[in-house]
Amino acid sequence: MRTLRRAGPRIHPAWLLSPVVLYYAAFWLRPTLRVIRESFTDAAGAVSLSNFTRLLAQAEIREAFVNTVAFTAGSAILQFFLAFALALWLNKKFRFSNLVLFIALVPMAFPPAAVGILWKTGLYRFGWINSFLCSIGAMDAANPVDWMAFRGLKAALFLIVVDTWTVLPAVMIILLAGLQNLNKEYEEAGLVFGANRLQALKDIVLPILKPTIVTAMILRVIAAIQVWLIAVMIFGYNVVPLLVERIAYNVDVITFGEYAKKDAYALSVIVVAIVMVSVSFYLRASRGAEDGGEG
Amino acid sequence: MSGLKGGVVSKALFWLTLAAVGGMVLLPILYFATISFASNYEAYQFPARPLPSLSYRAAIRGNPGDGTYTLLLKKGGEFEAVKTTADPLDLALYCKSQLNVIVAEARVREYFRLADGSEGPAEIRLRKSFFRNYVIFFILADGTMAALGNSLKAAGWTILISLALGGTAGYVLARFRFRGRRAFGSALLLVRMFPAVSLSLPLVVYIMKMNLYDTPLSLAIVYSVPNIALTAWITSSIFKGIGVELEEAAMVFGATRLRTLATITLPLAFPAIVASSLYAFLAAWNDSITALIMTNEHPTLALLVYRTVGSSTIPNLPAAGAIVLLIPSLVFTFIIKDYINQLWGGAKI
Repeated sequence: MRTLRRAGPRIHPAWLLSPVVLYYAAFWLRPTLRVIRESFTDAAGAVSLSNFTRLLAQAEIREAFVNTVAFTAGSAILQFFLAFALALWLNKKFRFSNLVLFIALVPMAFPPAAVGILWKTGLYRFGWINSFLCSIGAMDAANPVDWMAFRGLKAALFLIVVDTWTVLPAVMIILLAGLQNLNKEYEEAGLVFGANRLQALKDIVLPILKPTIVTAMILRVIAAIQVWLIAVMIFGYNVVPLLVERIAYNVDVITFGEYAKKDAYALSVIVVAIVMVSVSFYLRASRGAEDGGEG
Repeated sequence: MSGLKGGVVSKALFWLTLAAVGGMVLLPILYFATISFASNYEAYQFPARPLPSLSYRAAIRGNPGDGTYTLLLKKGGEFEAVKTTADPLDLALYCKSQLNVIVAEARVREYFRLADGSEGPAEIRLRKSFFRNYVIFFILADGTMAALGNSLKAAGWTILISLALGGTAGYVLARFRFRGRRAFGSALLLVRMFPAVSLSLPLVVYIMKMNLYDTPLSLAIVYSVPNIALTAWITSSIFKGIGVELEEAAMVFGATRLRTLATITLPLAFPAIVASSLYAFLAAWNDSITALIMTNEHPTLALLVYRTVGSSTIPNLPAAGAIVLLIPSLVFTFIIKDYINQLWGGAKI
């Protein structure tokens, strides 16, 4: 390194980062600060919490909060178990495992708009889901179910399924990479010393894999809290209120409403707060589990 | 192979899992692709077919008395009347708009004569213009090509900005030690925490002041925010992988740092640079949220697809748009899939 530094330009290398820093100051920090400032001031510009109290008084926002929490928890848990099971299975390297992996990765490539329309065409009364169910005889073609008429938590359940369909490959590939890097000898040693497969998985594979799992799940939770496009594309606005869906509603639909912007800003701050709280909570919980495991 | 040893039960379980994974991924895509090829008539049929049709089994019947003819299509085991008219042009237009069958008026007259000559309905085969929905969506509909152009321009600008800024940052992070280096590294996570939708609101104001509203460049500026960090992250790990020794050797032999960079480091890092460009491309190509706020009369393709879903009652045209939107995403995702793995420690596929 010393040779390099002598041969290099006399200016401090950190200066080379200044364009990036400026870019972030202009296009990330400035709007972020603006959002935060706007959320804590009222229409007259005085500092107040009125935006938050107004939001919290709305039943929709409370519903959106419940839905967001349910959606995030549900999809994170479902995706973790499915992705882990799938990764364990694909890590076995059977004859078609490469082909299966390839197929399993396809949904990852779908743009959100394509995912939305794919499932919208499936969930409506005469969509492909009912077509398929009829063709295998699981549904009466004369009286198909209208999945899109489902409301509340049931509708949120569909969103979990759709979200899982798209992001499962991304979670799975991270876990699979962790599994492939795992030294198989540790697990084998455990098995030799009399552990059964489940014990080896729980006491050897999981602890070693934990950093990978934590990374995957943090990324997942951050993204899941911010899901809204599939909800709007499949059900439309207002059907399954989610926090970021409410932001989009304020920004996109009632753009010029009296409190639209203030609501959007305050909601953004709430969402970021939730993201930060859940990430730190998750980090602490997983760290605590580690300490407990060691002690 | 250990999963296969356990006998019948585990073998059945294995095939069941395989079928479940394959079915969950491929069935929706198969049905969806079929919808994108379906004519309006087919899109209204229920249950829908899993595979697209190439032609219709049809029949034409003369109705004695009023001089009209009826077009019948085979549905299930029977023929179903779909259109009755005396005018060949009317029928030709019906075929074109509802069945995606392009048939000349003269040909329709022939069918009418055929019907006159035969006892019952005369059976004919109508060949479907297979890519009709795609032609309508891309060539006949206003603005799709322009939207495609906007998507490509936005993606191009995003790649340019992300590489220029993120690549430099990646190089500096990999080659120099200074205070605050680590803080810079965790920027990626922090940047992602703020919902893109809400940042777009104040950004729109700045963009308008810069006179860039409703342009692909303005979109690229927003897309680049998370992408610069991502590019810096990818490229720094690659630059770290390229030994300093190589660069030192070049400099010992008298090359300047810039020349070393151009002749040694960049060519070696080329695959990673391509990968991060494709990431940037995908970020721009797949987004419809920012475009919703940042554009007005010059939407991107993803936004156009998002909008047609809301506005059209028949899903076949939006489906065609979505499939076209999907193809580059699919191809590029699979090109960079090895890099996704490398980022996470290298899953081998």
